[in-house]
Amino acid sequence: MRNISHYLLRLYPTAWRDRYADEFAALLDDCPPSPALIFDVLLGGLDARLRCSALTGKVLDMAARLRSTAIAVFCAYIAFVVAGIGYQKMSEYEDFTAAGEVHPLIGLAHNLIAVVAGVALLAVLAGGLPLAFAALRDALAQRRHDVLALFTVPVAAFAALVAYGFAALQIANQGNAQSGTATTAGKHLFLSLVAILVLGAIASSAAVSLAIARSQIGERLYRFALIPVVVTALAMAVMFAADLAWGLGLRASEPALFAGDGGIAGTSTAASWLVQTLIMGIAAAVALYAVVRMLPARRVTARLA
Amino acid sequence: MSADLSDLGRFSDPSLLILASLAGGAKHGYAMIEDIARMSGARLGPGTLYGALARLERRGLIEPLPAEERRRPYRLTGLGAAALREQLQGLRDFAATGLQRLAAI
Repeated sequence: MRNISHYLLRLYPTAWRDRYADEFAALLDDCPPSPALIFDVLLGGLDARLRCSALTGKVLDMAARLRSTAIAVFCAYIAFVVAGIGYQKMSEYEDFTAAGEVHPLIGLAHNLIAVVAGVALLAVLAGGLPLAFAALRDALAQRRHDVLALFTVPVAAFAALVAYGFAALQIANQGNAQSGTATTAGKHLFLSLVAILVLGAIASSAAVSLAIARSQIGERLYRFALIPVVVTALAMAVMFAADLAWGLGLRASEPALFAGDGGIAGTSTAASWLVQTLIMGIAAAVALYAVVRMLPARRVTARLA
Repeated sequence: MSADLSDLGRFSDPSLLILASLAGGAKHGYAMIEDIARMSGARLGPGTLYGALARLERRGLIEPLPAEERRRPYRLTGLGAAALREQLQGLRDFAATGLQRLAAI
């Protein structure tokens, strides 16, 4: 257990580790390792991160609170974007665009998602790029090779996605040319591409979040990012509501289309929409929760200032 | 400082087990896990144990003692003993009522 107790301790926030790290590491060293034990420690780490100030009595400083909120909203946004790409891929088919032209609710919901997605992207860029540049500058100045390595993850993930996508397209086109229709192998290639996209998004957002968390970034930049963070969270909530209206509108107005196989890679439309909506809903809820959780502390700090 | 354990959510049961274990004397984490397993059959994981310990310490129901090597023992405070007594009396009344009803069947 000695080997992994160091890594397990990293799951807990710094303030918690300052108080309990030694004795907790001693306890981990005494316990025989098992999957159940690791899962229990994972849950304990999550609980400590969510309730750190309640457990340790230490109030996190404003920069730390803003940082954790910005990171939570960014990660939620990446999950939302992955689901949104699924929605975009599904709704671009002719049948769905035609339904949007005939039924105002479906068309309005679709257009609202497109417009608000643009607003959210601008907000993420406005708030996130200065933080990423500051983290990169800090890593270069401090010669933090671990942080610099984290910044290569999104670049490598994007390169892998493009290379695999290009190769998959070539293989799928060859298969289609031979059989005249989309082949099962082509569908599998598409699904594997989706899997790479999802894994790449998870790895990239985790790496960038970790890089920002490990960097010395001034509170001023986090304060600057606060408005884009709130805008992003609100935009996600609006897009989730619009996606819900789009699916329910389609179900009511075009039941045959909704019950068909127009989903991702020829899967059920209803199932694809449900999965996308569920991910969007969870992501929006996480982002809003992160923003709301930060606001009382912000008010207290403003009063003290 | 609150002596009520009911608002500790999923940590209320482990908290009660920890208080009962410390009622038998000060113990460090691993000794508590072993004692609770002997006493109740439930084996707490380290994450659950320290989640509950941190909450009990914040409420003043237990207090840390100087560490022995890396292991830090904890002991029950007066408030903790009162909270444990109140909880156990509630459980005793509950058990008595349940047994009375069973006897009538």
